[in-house]
Amino acid sequence: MTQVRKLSHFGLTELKWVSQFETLVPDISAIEASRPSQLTRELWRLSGGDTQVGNTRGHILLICMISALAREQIGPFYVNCGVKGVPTHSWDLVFTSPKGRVIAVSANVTLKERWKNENLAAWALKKELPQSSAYLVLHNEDEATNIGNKIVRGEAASIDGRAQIFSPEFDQLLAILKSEHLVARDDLVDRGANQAGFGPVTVGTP
Amino acid sequence: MNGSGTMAAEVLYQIHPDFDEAFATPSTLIDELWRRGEHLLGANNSLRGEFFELLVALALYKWDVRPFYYQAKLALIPETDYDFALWTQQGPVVLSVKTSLRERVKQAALEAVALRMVHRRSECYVLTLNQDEATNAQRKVERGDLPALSAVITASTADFDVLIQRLAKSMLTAAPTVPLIAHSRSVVA
Repeated sequence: MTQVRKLSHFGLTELKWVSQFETLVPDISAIEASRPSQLTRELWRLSGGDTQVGNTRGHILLICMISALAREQIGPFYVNCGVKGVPTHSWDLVFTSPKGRVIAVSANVTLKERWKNENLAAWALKKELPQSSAYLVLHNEDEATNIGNKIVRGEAASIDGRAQIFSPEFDQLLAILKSEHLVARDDLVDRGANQAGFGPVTVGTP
Repeated sequence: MNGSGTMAAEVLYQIHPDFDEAFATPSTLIDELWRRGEHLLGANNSLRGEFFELLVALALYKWDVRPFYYQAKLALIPETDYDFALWTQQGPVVLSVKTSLRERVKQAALEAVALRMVHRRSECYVLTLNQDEATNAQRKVERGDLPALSAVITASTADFDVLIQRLAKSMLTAAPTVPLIAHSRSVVA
Protein backbone atom coordinates (compact mmCIF):
# COMPACT_ATOMS: atom_id res chain seq x y z
CA MET A 1 0.00 0.00 0.00
CA THR A 2 1.20 3.52 -0.80
CA GLN A 3 2.58 5.32 2.22
CA VAL A 4 0.59 8.54 2.62
CA ARG A 5 2.80 11.06 4.30
CA LYS A 6 1.21 14.44 3.65
CA LEU A 7 -2.26 15.54 2.53
CA SER A 8 -0.69 18.31 0.47
CA HIS A 9 0.79 15.62 -1.78
CA PHE A 10 -2.75 15.02 -3.00
CA GLY A 11 -3.52 18.60 -3.88
CA LEU A 12 -5.24 19.21 -0.56
CA THR A 13 -3.45 22.50 0.00
CA GLU A 14 -6.82 24.24 -0.33
CA LEU A 15 -8.03 22.53 2.81
CA LYS A 16 -8.26 25.03 5.66
CA TRP A 17 -5.66 24.62 8.41
CA VAL A 18 -3.76 21.94 6.45
CA SER A 19 -0.42 23.78 6.64
CA GLN A 20 -0.66 24.08 10.44
CA PHE A 21 -1.66 20.43 10.59
CA GLU A 22 1.37 19.37 8.59
CA THR A 23 3.63 21.29 10.94
CA LEU A 24 2.19 19.33 13.85
CA VAL A 25 1.91 16.03 11.98
CA PRO A 26 4.68 16.00 9.36
CA ASP A 27 4.21 12.32 8.45
CA ILE A 28 0.83 10.61 8.69
CA SER A 29 2.37 7.24 7.82
CA ALA A 30 4.53 7.36 10.93
CA ILE A 31 1.50 7.16 13.21
CA GLU A 32 0.84 3.72 14.57
CA ALA A 33 -2.82 2.86 14.21
CA SER A 34 -4.37 -0.42 13.24
CA ARG A 35 -7.80 1.05 12.56
CA PRO A 36 -8.98 4.34 10.99
CA SER A 37 -10.68 5.31 14.26
CA GLN A 38 -7.36 4.95 16.09
CA LEU A 39 -5.68 7.11 13.49
CA THR A 40 -8.29 9.86 13.80
CA ARG A 41 -8.07 9.81 17.60
CA GLU A 42 -4.30 10.18 17.46
CA LEU A 43 -4.39 12.91 14.79
CA TRP A 44 -6.95 14.82 16.84
CA ARG A 45 -4.68 14.59 19.87
CA LEU A 46 -1.55 15.63 17.99
CA SER A 47 -3.43 18.58 16.46
CA GLY A 48 -4.57 19.74 19.86
CA GLY A 49 -8.20 19.36 18.79
CA ASP A 50 -9.53 19.52 22.33
CA THR A 51 -7.80 22.80 23.08
CA GLN A 52 -8.71 24.57 19.84
CA VAL A 53 -11.78 26.75 19.58
CA GLY A 54 -14.43 27.63 17.01
CA ASN A 55 -14.05 26.70 13.37
CA THR A 56 -10.54 25.33 13.84
CA ARG A 57 -11.95 22.25 15.56
CA GLY A 58 -14.15 21.66 12.53
CA HIS A 59 -11.17 22.02 10.18
CA ILE A 60 -9.17 19.53 12.27
CA LEU A 61 -12.04 17.05 12.29
CA LEU A 62 -12.28 17.14 8.51
CA ILE A 63 -8.50 16.80 8.16
CA CYS A 64 -8.57 13.78 10.48
CA MET A 65 -11.25 12.18 8.37
CA ILE A 66 -9.51 12.93 5.08
CA SER A 67 -6.25 11.56 6.49
CA ALA A 68 -8.04 8.31 7.28
CA LEU A 69 -9.49 8.21 3.75
CA ALA A 70 -6.06 8.86 2.28
CA ARG A 71 -4.42 6.16 4.36
CA GLU A 72 -7.15 3.68 3.41
CA GLN A 73 -6.89 4.87 -0.21
CA ILE A 74 -10.60 5.61 -0.43
CA GLY A 75 -11.50 7.93 -3.23
CA PRO A 76 -11.82 9.89 -5.35
CA PHE A 77 -13.89 12.40 -3.40
CA TYR A 78 -14.91 16.03 -3.46
CA VAL A 79 -14.53 18.44 -0.55
CA ASN A 80 -17.05 21.13 0.51
CA CYS A 81 -19.25 20.50 -2.50
CA GLY A 82 -22.94 20.39 -3.17
CA VAL A 83 -24.82 18.12 -5.52
CA LYS A 84 -26.48 19.40 -8.68
CA GLY A 85 -30.22 19.58 -8.29
CA VAL A 86 -29.91 20.09 -4.54
CA PRO A 87 -29.01 23.78 -4.32
CA THR A 88 -27.88 25.73 -1.26
CA HIS A 89 -26.45 22.81 0.73
CA SER A 90 -22.88 21.59 0.69
CA TRP A 91 -21.42 18.50 2.29
CA ASP A 92 -17.93 18.16 3.65
CA LEU A 93 -17.25 15.11 1.51
CA VAL A 94 -19.03 13.89 -1.60
CA PHE A 95 -18.33 10.52 -3.21
CA THR A 96 -19.78 9.56 -6.58
CA SER A 97 -20.31 6.30 -8.40
CA PRO A 98 -20.43 5.47 -12.12
CA LYS A 99 -24.21 4.94 -11.93
CA GLY A 100 -24.89 8.34 -10.43
CA ARG A 101 -25.10 7.32 -6.80
CA VAL A 102 -23.85 9.97 -4.39
CA ILE A 103 -22.61 9.33 -0.88
CA ALA A 104 -22.58 12.59 1.03
CA VAL A 105 -20.86 12.96 4.38
CA SER A 106 -21.06 15.85 6.80
CA ALA A 107 -18.37 15.99 9.46
CA ASN A 108 -19.20 18.10 12.49
CA VAL A 109 -17.68 18.61 15.90
CA THR A 110 -21.17 19.41 17.13
CA LEU A 111 -24.46 19.77 15.27
CA LYS A 112 -27.08 20.90 17.80
CA GLU A 113 -30.27 21.72 15.88
CA ARG A 114 -28.53 21.59 12.51
CA TRP A 115 -29.26 17.86 12.32
CA LYS A 116 -32.63 18.98 10.93
CA ASN A 117 -30.90 20.72 8.03
CA GLU A 118 -28.78 17.63 7.42
CA ASN A 119 -31.88 15.45 7.43
CA LEU A 120 -33.72 17.75 5.04
CA ALA A 121 -30.69 17.98 2.74
CA ALA A 122 -30.39 14.17 2.77
CA TRP A 123 -34.07 13.92 1.90
CA ALA A 124 -33.60 16.37 -1.00
CA LEU A 125 -30.51 14.48 -2.19
CA LYS A 126 -32.44 11.22 -2.34
CA LYS A 127 -35.35 12.87 -4.08
CA GLU A 128 -32.96 14.08 -6.76
CA LEU A 129 -30.74 10.97 -6.89
CA PRO A 130 -32.73 8.15 -5.29
CA GLN A 131 -29.85 5.68 -4.91
CA SER A 132 -27.84 8.10 -2.81
CA SER A 133 -26.89 7.98 0.86
CA ALA A 134 -26.04 10.55 3.51
CA TYR A 135 -23.96 10.02 6.62
CA LEU A 136 -22.91 12.14 9.56
CA VAL A 137 -19.53 11.98 11.26
CA LEU A 138 -19.49 13.60 14.67
CA HIS A 139 -16.98 14.32 17.38
CA ASN A 140 -19.44 14.74 20.22
CA GLU A 141 -20.30 11.28 21.58
CA ASP A 142 -23.59 12.31 23.18
CA GLU A 143 -24.80 13.88 19.94
CA ALA A 144 -23.77 10.81 17.99
CA THR A 145 -25.88 8.72 20.35
CA ASN A 146 -28.83 11.14 20.20
CA ILE A 147 -28.83 11.35 16.43
CA GLY A 148 -28.52 7.59 16.23
CA ASN A 149 -31.69 7.37 18.32
CA LYS A 150 -33.43 9.89 16.05
CA ILE A 151 -32.51 7.80 13.00
CA VAL A 152 -33.95 4.69 14.66
CA ARG A 153 -37.11 6.52 15.74
CA GLY A 154 -37.60 7.92 12.24
CA GLU A 155 -37.16 11.60 13.17
CA ALA A 156 -34.02 11.72 11.03
CA ALA A 157 -35.05 8.99 8.65
CA SER A 158 -33.29 10.45 5.63
CA ILE A 159 -29.87 10.09 7.26
CA ASP A 160 -28.48 6.62 6.60
CA GLY A 161 -26.12 6.51 9.52
CA ARG A 162 -23.86 8.39 11.86
CA ALA A 163 -20.48 7.65 13.31
CA GLN A 164 -18.48 9.06 16.16
CA ILE A 165 -15.07 9.63 14.61
CA PHE A 166 -13.07 7.72 17.25
CA SER A 167 -15.44 4.76 17.44
CA PRO A 168 -15.72 1.44 15.58
CA GLU A 169 -18.74 2.96 13.77
CA PHE A 170 -16.26 5.16 11.91
CA ASP A 171 -14.34 2.06 10.81
CA GLN A 172 -17.62 0.61 9.56
CA LEU A 173 -18.39 3.76 7.60
CA LEU A 174 -14.99 3.64 5.95
CA ALA A 175 -15.57 -0.03 5.17
CA ILE A 176 -18.80 0.95 3.40
CA LEU A 177 -16.99 3.62 1.41
CA LYS A 178 -14.17 1.23 0.56
CA SER A 179 -16.64 -1.31 -0.78
CA GLU A 180 -18.12 1.22 -3.22
CA HIS A 181 -16.92 1.64 -6.77
CA LEU A 182 -16.04 5.32 -6.64
CA VAL A 183 -15.25 7.49 -9.62
CA ALA A 184 -15.02 11.22 -10.28
CA ARG A 185 -18.32 12.57 -11.59
CA ASP A 186 -17.97 16.32 -12.10
CA ASP A 187 -21.39 16.33 -13.74
CA LEU A 188 -23.03 15.51 -10.40
CA VAL A 189 -21.09 17.90 -8.23
CA ASP A 190 -21.65 21.57 -7.55
CA ARG A 191 -18.58 23.45 -6.34
CA GLY A 192 -20.65 26.43 -5.24
CA ALA A 193 -21.02 29.98 -6.47
CA ASN A 194 -17.55 30.97 -5.28
CA GLN A 195 -16.03 27.65 -6.33
CA ALA A 196 -15.23 27.02 -2.67
CA GLY A 197 -15.59 23.31 -3.18
CA PHE A 198 -12.81 21.31 -4.77
CA GLY A 199 -11.94 17.91 -6.09
CA PRO A 200 -11.90 15.27 -7.27
CA VAL A 201 -9.18 14.31 -4.82
CA THR A 202 -7.55 11.05 -5.83
CA VAL A 203 -5.67 9.37 -3.02
CA GLY A 204 -3.60 6.86 -4.94
CA THR A 205 0.09 7.30 -5.56
CA PRO A 206 0.87 11.04 -5.28
CA MET B 1 -48.40 28.09 22.24
CA ASN B 2 -45.23 27.30 24.17
CA GLY B 3 -43.83 29.38 27.06
CA SER B 4 -42.14 32.08 25.01
CA GLY B 5 -45.14 32.14 22.69
CA THR B 6 -47.43 32.93 25.61
CA MET B 7 -45.04 35.61 26.83
CA ALA B 8 -44.90 37.11 23.33
CA ALA B 9 -48.70 37.23 23.25
CA GLU B 10 -48.70 38.97 26.63
CA VAL B 11 -46.23 41.57 25.38
CA LEU B 12 -48.35 42.11 22.29
CA TYR B 13 -51.48 42.58 24.39
CA GLN B 14 -49.63 45.02 26.63
CA ILE B 15 -48.48 47.27 23.79
CA HIS B 16 -51.51 46.76 21.55
CA PRO B 17 -54.54 46.36 23.84
CA ASP B 18 -56.95 47.74 21.27
CA PHE B 19 -57.13 45.16 18.51
CA ASP B 20 -58.95 47.63 16.30
CA GLU B 21 -56.14 50.19 16.39
CA ALA B 22 -55.51 51.15 12.79
CA PHE B 23 -52.19 51.25 10.96
CA ALA B 24 -51.66 52.80 7.54
CA THR B 25 -49.77 49.84 6.06
CA PRO B 26 -48.57 46.37 7.09
CA SER B 27 -44.99 47.61 7.33
CA THR B 28 -46.12 50.46 9.59
CA LEU B 29 -47.80 47.95 11.87
CA ILE B 30 -44.62 45.87 12.08
CA ASP B 31 -42.37 48.89 12.57
CA GLU B 32 -44.57 50.61 15.14
CA LEU B 33 -45.41 47.56 17.25
CA TRP B 34 -41.84 46.25 17.15
CA ARG B 35 -40.59 49.61 18.47
CA ARG B 36 -43.24 49.60 21.20
CA GLY B 37 -42.47 46.04 22.27
CA GLU B 38 -38.72 45.74 21.78
CA HIS B 39 -37.73 47.03 25.22
CA LEU B 40 -40.04 44.46 26.85
CA LEU B 41 -38.49 41.57 24.95
CA GLY B 42 -34.91 42.00 26.15
CA ALA B 43 -32.24 39.76 24.67
CA ASN B 44 -34.32 36.59 24.67
CA ASN B 45 -34.00 35.52 21.03
CA SER B 46 -36.78 32.98 21.27
CA LEU B 47 -39.18 35.55 22.68
CA ARG B 48 -38.15 38.11 20.06
CA GLY B 49 -38.75 35.56 17.31
CA GLU B 50 -42.18 34.60 18.65
CA PHE B 51 -43.14 38.25 18.99
CA PHE B 52 -42.10 38.99 15.41
CA GLU B 53 -44.15 36.03 14.23
CA LEU B 54 -47.19 37.39 16.06
CA LEU B 55 -46.75 40.75 14.36
CA VAL B 56 -46.63 39.06 10.96
CA ALA B 57 -49.74 37.04 11.88
CA LEU B 58 -51.47 40.27 12.91
CA ALA B 59 -50.54 41.96 9.63
CA LEU B 60 -51.82 38.98 7.62
CA TYR B 61 -55.07 38.99 9.57
CA LYS B 62 -55.69 42.73 9.38
CA TRP B 63 -55.01 42.91 5.64
CA ASP B 64 -57.22 39.90 4.90
CA VAL B 65 -54.48 37.53 3.88
CA ARG B 66 -56.49 34.54 5.00
CA PRO B 67 -56.68 31.66 5.60
CA PHE B 68 -53.12 31.11 6.71
CA TYR B 69 -51.45 28.31 8.63
CA TYR B 70 -49.07 29.03 11.48
CA GLN B 71 -46.16 26.65 12.26
CA ALA B 72 -47.30 24.42 9.45
CA LYS B 73 -45.98 20.97 8.68
CA LEU B 74 -46.61 20.18 5.02
CA ALA B 75 -47.35 16.66 3.89
CA LEU B 76 -44.45 14.82 2.19
CA ILE B 77 -41.80 17.20 3.55
CA PRO B 78 -40.05 15.69 6.56
CA GLU B 79 -39.39 17.36 9.88
CA THR B 80 -39.96 20.92 8.72
CA ASP B 81 -42.19 23.53 10.32
CA TYR B 82 -42.90 26.46 8.03
CA ASP B 83 -43.61 29.61 10.04
CA PHE B 84 -46.54 30.55 7.82
CA ALA B 85 -48.12 28.72 4.92
CA LEU B 86 -50.84 29.92 2.56
CA TRP B 87 -52.51 28.08 -0.26
CA THR B 88 -53.03 29.76 -3.62
CA GLN B 89 -54.34 28.27 -6.87
CA GLN B 90 -50.71 27.82 -7.93
CA GLY B 91 -49.75 25.99 -4.75
CA PRO B 92 -48.25 26.88 -1.40
CA VAL B 93 -46.66 30.16 -0.43
CA VAL B 94 -44.58 29.99 2.72
CA LEU B 95 -43.18 32.76 4.85
CA SER B 96 -40.05 32.14 6.87
CA VAL B 97 -39.89 34.72 9.66
CA LYS B 98 -36.52 35.54 11.24
CA THR B 99 -35.68 38.63 13.32
CA SER B 100 -32.12 38.36 12.03
CA LEU B 101 -30.72 36.09 9.38
CA ARG B 102 -27.04 35.23 9.85
CA GLU B 103 -26.66 31.57 8.84
CA ARG B 104 -30.37 30.95 9.15
CA VAL B 105 -31.02 32.09 5.60
CA LYS B 106 -29.40 28.80 4.53
CA GLN B 107 -31.95 26.91 6.58
CA ALA B 108 -34.79 28.85 4.96
CA ALA B 109 -33.25 28.27 1.54
CA LEU B 110 -33.03 24.54 2.16
CA GLU B 111 -36.63 24.44 3.33
CA ALA B 112 -37.56 26.27 0.13
CA VAL B 113 -35.66 23.69 -1.94
CA ALA B 114 -37.59 20.88 -0.23
CA LEU B 115 -40.88 22.68 -0.78
CA ARG B 116 -40.15 23.21 -4.45
CA MET B 117 -39.24 19.56 -4.93
CA VAL B 118 -42.77 18.66 -3.88
CA HIS B 119 -44.63 21.75 -5.16
CA ARG B 120 -42.89 23.01 -8.31
CA ARG B 121 -44.81 26.30 -8.36
CA SER B 122 -44.42 27.13 -4.70
CA GLU B 123 -43.07 30.42 -3.42
CA CYS B 124 -40.96 31.00 -0.36
CA TYR B 125 -40.32 34.41 1.18
CA VAL B 126 -37.99 35.19 4.05
CA LEU B 127 -39.15 38.05 6.25
CA THR B 128 -36.69 39.74 8.54
CA LEU B 129 -36.20 42.95 10.49
CA ASN B 130 -32.54 43.49 9.68
CA GLN B 131 -32.39 45.52 6.49
CA ASP B 132 -28.66 45.11 5.84
CA GLU B 133 -28.89 41.33 6.14
CA ALA B 134 -31.98 41.32 3.96
CA THR B 135 -30.24 43.37 1.27
CA ASN B 136 -27.24 41.01 1.24
CA ALA B 137 -29.42 37.90 1.14
CA GLN B 138 -31.66 39.37 -1.57
CA ARG B 139 -28.54 40.01 -3.65
CA LYS B 140 -27.76 36.29 -3.36
CA VAL B 141 -31.30 35.47 -4.45
CA GLU B 142 -30.91 37.73 -7.49
CA ARG B 143 -27.53 36.19 -8.33
CA GLY B 144 -29.12 32.75 -8.24
CA ASP B 145 -27.16 31.55 -5.20
CA LEU B 146 -30.37 30.79 -3.30
CA PRO B 147 -32.47 29.58 -6.21
CA ALA B 148 -35.55 28.31 -4.41
CA LEU B 149 -36.14 31.50 -2.44
CA SER B 150 -38.54 33.97 -4.03
CA ALA B 151 -37.28 37.00 -2.09
CA VAL B 152 -35.84 38.18 1.20
CA ILE B 153 -37.89 41.10 2.49
CA THR B 154 -37.51 43.52 5.38
CA ALA B 155 -40.92 43.51 7.06
CA SER B 156 -40.72 47.16 8.10
CA THR B 157 -40.36 48.40 4.51
CA ALA B 158 -42.66 49.02 1.56
CA ASP B 159 -41.52 45.72 0.00
CA PHE B 160 -43.54 43.95 2.68
CA ASP B 161 -46.60 46.03 1.79
CA VAL B 162 -46.27 44.97 -1.84
CA LEU B 163 -46.09 41.32 -0.83
CA ILE B 164 -49.10 41.62 1.47
CA GLN B 165 -51.12 43.39 -1.22
CA ARG B 166 -50.27 40.71 -3.73
CA LEU B 167 -51.15 37.90 -1.32
CA ALA B 168 -54.41 39.62 -0.36
CA LYS B 169 -55.39 39.64 -4.02
CA SER B 170 -54.53 35.96 -4.42
CA MET B 171 -57.34 33.46 -4.23
CA LEU B 172 -56.33 31.94 -0.90
CA THR B 173 -58.06 28.78 0.15
CA ALA B 174 -57.71 26.09 2.76
CA ALA B 175 -55.04 23.60 1.72
CA PRO B 176 -56.55 20.74 -0.25
CA THR B 177 -56.67 17.17 0.97
CA VAL B 178 -55.04 14.86 -1.53
CA PRO B 179 -55.82 11.13 -1.66
CA LEU B 180 -52.69 9.02 -1.21
CA ILE B 181 -53.74 6.80 -4.12
CA ALA B 182 -54.97 8.94 -6.98
CA HIS B 183 -56.15 6.14 -9.26
CA SER B 184 -56.06 2.39 -9.21
CA ARG B 185 -57.84 -0.76 -10.18
CA SER B 186 -58.44 -2.06 -6.74
CA VAL B 187 -58.62 -5.67 -5.72
CA VAL B 188 -60.66 -6.23 -2.63
CA ALA B 189 -61.03 -9.43 -0.71
